[in-house]
Amino acid sequence: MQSVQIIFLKDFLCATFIVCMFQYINYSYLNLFTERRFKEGSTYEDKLQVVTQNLETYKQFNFIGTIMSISYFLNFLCRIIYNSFSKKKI
Amino acid sequence: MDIWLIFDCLAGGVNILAFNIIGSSSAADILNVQTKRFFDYYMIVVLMISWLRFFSYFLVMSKISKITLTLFMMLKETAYFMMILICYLILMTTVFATLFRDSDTDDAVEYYHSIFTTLRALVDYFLANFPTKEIGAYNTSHSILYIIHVTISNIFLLNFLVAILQTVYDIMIKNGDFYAIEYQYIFITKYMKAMEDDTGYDKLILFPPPLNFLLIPMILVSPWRNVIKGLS
Repeated sequence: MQSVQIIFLKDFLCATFIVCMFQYINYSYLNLFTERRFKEGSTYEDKLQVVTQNLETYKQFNFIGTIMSISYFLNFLCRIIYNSFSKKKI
Repeated sequence: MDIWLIFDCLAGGVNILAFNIIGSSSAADILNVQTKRFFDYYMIVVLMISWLRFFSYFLVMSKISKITLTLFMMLKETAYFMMILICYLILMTTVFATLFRDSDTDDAVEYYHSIFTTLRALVDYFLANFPTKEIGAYNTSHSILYIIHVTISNIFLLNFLVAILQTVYDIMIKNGDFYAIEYQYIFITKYMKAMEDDTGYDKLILFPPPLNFLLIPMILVSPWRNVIKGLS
């Protein structure tokens, strides 16, 4: 029982870490693509330039987010492998 | 498939899709109001699903799970009541809009010029937020309907809703522990089974995301039982 509590704590801390990361990525999206950012540019080309720069910044967050999301599917894959090869099924 | 694995797949799917859609979009897409609005809504959905996955862990914590389950039970039990409330509001909205939209006073133009503004006004009345309105020649009929609506919605329906919520709360105070234990049992048995396993495959279950990236070598050699045992 004690071990399960430790496993749950580990599970919960990881879930907290991931949700904080996703929250941060969403917050970055909010900051980078708010219309207030585009108002600085007077012409459409100026605005395009600002958005292009912001998109480049956002793609870095994107990479981290995609890695985190893949880990969810990895969890699913691990469960399938466990159920296929282990004696006890979950 | 337990609830946590379902949330994993759901959150993983929508997140990967979101990051790819926004990452591969052009600057012109972001500047386009309609496309940007779509991205905004999609990001909100993604964030909500990510938080729902996190909330699903509350079901295992004995102190929080009872409250969380009570909240879900309240939402479930009030679903039919909400259907009645929505039908009633649609009916009354139509009545108010039909009768008062042609009045030329400022209040009538502001509150009853369309179905949506009328519905908004009636929801305000339902929540007991009702300043007196000047409807000109329709003042008497408006007052009568207004009294009927506030009596039915604010007194009967709102108190009915409170009674349902109180009943659900009372039931969950008595039986909530049982429902909470059900989720705890599912969660604990999953890990207990894995911990009792001595084939080495237990490690595949015991590492949650994102720590499960450490398991990639094990996944690659998973068909070979001897290698797995050594590696674990």
